Amino acid sequence: MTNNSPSILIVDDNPFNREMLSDILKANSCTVDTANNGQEALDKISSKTYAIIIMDMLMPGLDGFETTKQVRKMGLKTPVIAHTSMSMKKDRRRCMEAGCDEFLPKPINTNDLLALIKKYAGSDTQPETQSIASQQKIKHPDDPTFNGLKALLIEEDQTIRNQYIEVLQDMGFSVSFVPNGNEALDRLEQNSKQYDLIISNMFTSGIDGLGVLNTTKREYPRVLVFIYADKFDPATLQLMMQLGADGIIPQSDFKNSIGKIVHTALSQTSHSRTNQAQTAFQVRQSQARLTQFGCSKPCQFIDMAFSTLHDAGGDMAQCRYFNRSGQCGVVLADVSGHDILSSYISAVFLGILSSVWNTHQDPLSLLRIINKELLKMEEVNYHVCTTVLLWDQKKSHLDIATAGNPGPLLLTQKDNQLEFQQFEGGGICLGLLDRDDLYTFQQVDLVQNSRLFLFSDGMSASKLQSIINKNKNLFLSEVTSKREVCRRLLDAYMDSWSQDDDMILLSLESTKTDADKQFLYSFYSDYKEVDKACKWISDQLFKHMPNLEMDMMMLSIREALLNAVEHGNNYDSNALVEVTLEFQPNGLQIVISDQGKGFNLNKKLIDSKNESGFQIGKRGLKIIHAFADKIEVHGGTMRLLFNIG
Amino acid sequence: MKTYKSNGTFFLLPETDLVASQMEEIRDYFMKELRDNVDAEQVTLDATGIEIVDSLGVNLIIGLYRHVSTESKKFNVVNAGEKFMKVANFFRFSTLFDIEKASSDD
Repeated sequence: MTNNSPSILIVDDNPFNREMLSDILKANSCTVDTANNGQEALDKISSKTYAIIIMDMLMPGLDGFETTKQVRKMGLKTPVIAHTSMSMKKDRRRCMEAGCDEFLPKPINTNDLLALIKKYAGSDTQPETQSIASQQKIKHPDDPTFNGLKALLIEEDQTIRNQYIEVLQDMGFSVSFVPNGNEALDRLEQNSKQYDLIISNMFTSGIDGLGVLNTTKREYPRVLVFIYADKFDPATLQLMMQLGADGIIPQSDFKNSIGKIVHTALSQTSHSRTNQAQTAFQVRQSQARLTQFGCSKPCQFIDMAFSTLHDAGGDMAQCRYFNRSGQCGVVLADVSGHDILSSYISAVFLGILSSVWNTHQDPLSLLRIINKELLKMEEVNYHVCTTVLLWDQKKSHLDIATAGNPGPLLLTQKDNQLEFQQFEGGGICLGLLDRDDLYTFQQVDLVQNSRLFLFSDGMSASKLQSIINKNKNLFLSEVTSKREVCRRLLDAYMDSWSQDDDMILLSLESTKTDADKQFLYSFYSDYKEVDKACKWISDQLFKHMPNLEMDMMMLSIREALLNAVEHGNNYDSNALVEVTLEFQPNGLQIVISDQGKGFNLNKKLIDSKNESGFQIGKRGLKIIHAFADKIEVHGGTMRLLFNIG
Repeated sequence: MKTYKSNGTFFLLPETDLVASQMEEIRDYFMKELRDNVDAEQVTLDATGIEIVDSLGVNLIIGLYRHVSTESKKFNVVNAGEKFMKVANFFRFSTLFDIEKASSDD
């Protein structure tokens, strides 16, 4: 062992892949550093020495090919492992031509990865193999001790049965017996955990060895099954293998071979299970980090809980604040299957979502583009059930599209009663068909004291409704905390019904907290529309504060609207400006949102101070600043506060 | 929106608010009129009817002042209402040219 903790740099623009690789490598005693792109990688390589670089070849900007070429130009011989979903021979050749040393296809195969690390780091990076051996306490085949493993022997012949029981007990097995398959399956049904393995004669009355094998592998896959017989014909042998027999024992050699065969099967199974479980755990851990809200500070109106069942794949949820007139997006998705590949599909899905969401905020448009991208993968056995929302928090309005997921459930609280409305769901899942017209779409206004629940197909609307009714206090009581409503409901759901799939429950609360005090107005970016907006605002001001001296206040507001039209939306007549008026006890708050990126207020004000009075430009900002008591700019949203009275 | 000449002074009367939505039309009209009346010794903006002046309106007024000044002529504003004066004071127009308040505001 030349290097006990090789330093490895992972270069990948996909956070999921970075996390997953990091977890696997860290679990195998590697020191890990990550870079989000080629440039960042080159910066790190320039200042630090790595034993190995794992390079995603397809990245925006400086891609893996170019980055690797740069590494070689720097005179570095650090082994570079190309990690990519491109699997054609020509892709492999291109990677090698760029200077890569190895080719590791996506999705990740942990054993292949560790073998490459071992090869290039010169270290034994498979400590789990050792730990497995020690954990299992399985001794050498010649050592006939199986530590009290519980075996169920199926044999009708009492003489043979007694012989075999003796052999097995000598090896350390704890042995029970039944004469036939029927009784064996009855026992398994009563408590399958009381047996670790079944050793059955192929030929018994009633359900024979094949029947036991078939049922056990289907219903109780944890239990190992060994079949013995005087002789086997080739067709039966093949069938047993297909059914998943863990060992086939010639009866004539039972005493000598049973120990070795069981030992081999136990070793293989434990190694495989541990490896799978470890990888799946790492995948799940990585994925859990992505099943979270996209905003750095999740808003108070969204709540989520999930409970995973399987090792990998499954449900995920993301949200994103678009900074477009207060709109945000929410996506809830469920990838079919629960294996490593489905987890990989999850990562791909999130990657696509991440790159197209801003430009496809409309739910139907987003479903279409993701479907188009998923179809390119040609993974015919996988699909993604998806719900997409565009949430206008200011108007408390939702556009909802579903592709295979259940429709949302609307809960409205009226006079201490809970009312429910189930919306249409379904539609074709993503990744199945090149059709854009098979999704469902609806619009929902979340009135005050209402909540919309979204959930994956692990839950049903009727059962959820029942659970909500049983937990009315969560919504009706003034005392009960409204926090973590989803967690409480999901726990109650699982207490009442068994969980047979991943479950995710997400709720969106109405943003209308005091409708009487908020006034909304929106207009397209045009000067004449600014005049109309100003007229609407001054009418509202006059209505609520008839004695207000509003001339300069209105001038300030007008300039903020002009700023949104000119600089925010760049005169795009299709771009909206949204205005919210909120009358407060001692003043007025006006929020103006455009669809631009926003600006640094302080910097602009400093710039404007350097102008002389004769210069043209930035006068609007001066006016806004002069007559508003407080200005806040966040992205494309400007908030003006006027103190009154 | 109109113009007229009296005693060597060329009068500009927007008769409307000096706001973004009106600006292109007002600017084009006034600039054409100024080009056609180069013989005037003084240019006066008559602020009658102007209630609102936004930043583009400010730019128009300063643009007119600069244009007239480059021709070595005098520029002033008359009949300025209270609201007009608030903006004029904020931008210190009076340091650039004379402003005469409307008689009702005296």
